Amino acid sequence: MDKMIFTMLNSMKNVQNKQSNNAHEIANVVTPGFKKSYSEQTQSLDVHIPGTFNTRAMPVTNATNVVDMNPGALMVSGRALDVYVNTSGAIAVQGPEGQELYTRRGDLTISADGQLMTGTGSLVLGDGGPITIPGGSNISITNDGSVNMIPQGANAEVTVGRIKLVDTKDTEMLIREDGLYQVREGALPASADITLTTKALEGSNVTVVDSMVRMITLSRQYEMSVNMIKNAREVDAASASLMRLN
Amino acid sequence: MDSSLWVAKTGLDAQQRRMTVVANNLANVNTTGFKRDRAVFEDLLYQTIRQPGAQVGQDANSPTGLVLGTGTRVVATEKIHSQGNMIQTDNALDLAIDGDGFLQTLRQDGNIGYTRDGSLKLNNVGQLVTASGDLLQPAITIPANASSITIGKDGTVSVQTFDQAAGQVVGNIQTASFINPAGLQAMGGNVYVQTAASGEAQVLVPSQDGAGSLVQGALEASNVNVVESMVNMIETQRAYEVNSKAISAADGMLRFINNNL
Repeated sequence: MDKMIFTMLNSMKNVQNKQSNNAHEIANVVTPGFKKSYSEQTQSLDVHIPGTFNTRAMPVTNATNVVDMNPGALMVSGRALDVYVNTSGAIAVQGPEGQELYTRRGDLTISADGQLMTGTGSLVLGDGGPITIPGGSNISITNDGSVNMIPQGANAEVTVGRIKLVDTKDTEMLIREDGLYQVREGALPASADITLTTKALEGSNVTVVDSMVRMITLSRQYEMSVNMIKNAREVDAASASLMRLN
Repeated sequence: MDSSLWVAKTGLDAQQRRMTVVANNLANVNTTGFKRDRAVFEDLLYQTIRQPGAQVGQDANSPTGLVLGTGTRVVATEKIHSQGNMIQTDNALDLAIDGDGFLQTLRQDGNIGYTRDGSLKLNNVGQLVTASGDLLQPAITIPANASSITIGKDGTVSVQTFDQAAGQVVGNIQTASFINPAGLQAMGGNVYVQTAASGEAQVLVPSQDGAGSLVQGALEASNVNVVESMVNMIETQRAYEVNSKAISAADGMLRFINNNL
């Protein structure tokens, strides 16, 4: 059997993965705070088989799950608990095992037991753990992440916590299965340089034009691979008919 | 089959749902006290194809993993409780709330409902009711011989009668505030009911302790912003189109391989 078709098969598998991820990015074109997190470097791998030519190469894709921290569009929403994290910042949230994870999703809400959480239900971390908000009214968030409100029975505003904001510049953020980000080890320190724009949300950082162009490129690349397999089949068929005796 | 087909399908589903939300907002652009909805999107679970830190050689770990996403979904819709515009009506029984708070009404099932729609009416015994006929809580009865009704910004309801020169106070309207108004459940008819997520209602005197003040002779318009809704609609429509392109691209790849091999 011609090894070429296996080389092409490998290439087709890579293209399918990329196309699937591309569809994922397109599906999340309106998800607040969504970040692209798939980048691939394709390289060829030499295959050395004793006694044959050393010219065969297998395309291998090294994809990474490093989050692309390019900011998305700022969308003013007017809602008191919406925040847009400026520059390269991120909001610290509590992970399922109590570890510290990060997100850029700023559509904050309050859970049934009064804790501040993101739109997907992760608890937002303050200076000392999750931020609990007592009963009251007039809740607001300031530029530095302080959460203010008027507690029940009081008539003046008090600060009930401060959202932990971290700087992700110079740090590689990795995507988790639940869409939150993690650092390789430990946790990032709170940074005073990171501020919020309140009453606004961050859009997705997917650019539709990019995705469309990539989609077309991938489709064509796939077709080329299929054509190569087809050629291999023809060559095989030709050599088979050549060897036929009558 | 190719996973990108299913991933793009989640996008179509979510955009379709968002369109319903946008259409509902636009339909209620003239509903008194209506608060607009927003569809909350979430990226679905990522699949780990290769674990970060996996052994790739005798003494080499892969510095990163390969994690593929599986699409999106609408996880919730939430009400945006921002202030709507004030419309002057000069009707003595029209009330708008300037700031936080809801009027309390007695629903047909005996529970308390909360509303921002202050177009009050009188029923056959002179009690204040909402436009749909629910009693305002606490109940306030206007005497039959009242010539004019005044509602103060702190909720004091006083009437002037034909036989008395001095006005008399017949009741106080109270408003209820919630720590998380987005957690209220919309029941239709401009009425919300309390849930575990909204927290307990705090009954306050209007214009005190952070509660909004009452404005007589005005109504609160819907807070739907038509321009914003249009932008949302365009965004939804285009996102729908691009998702269907992703499906046809995946379809094209499969068709090509079927036809050519």
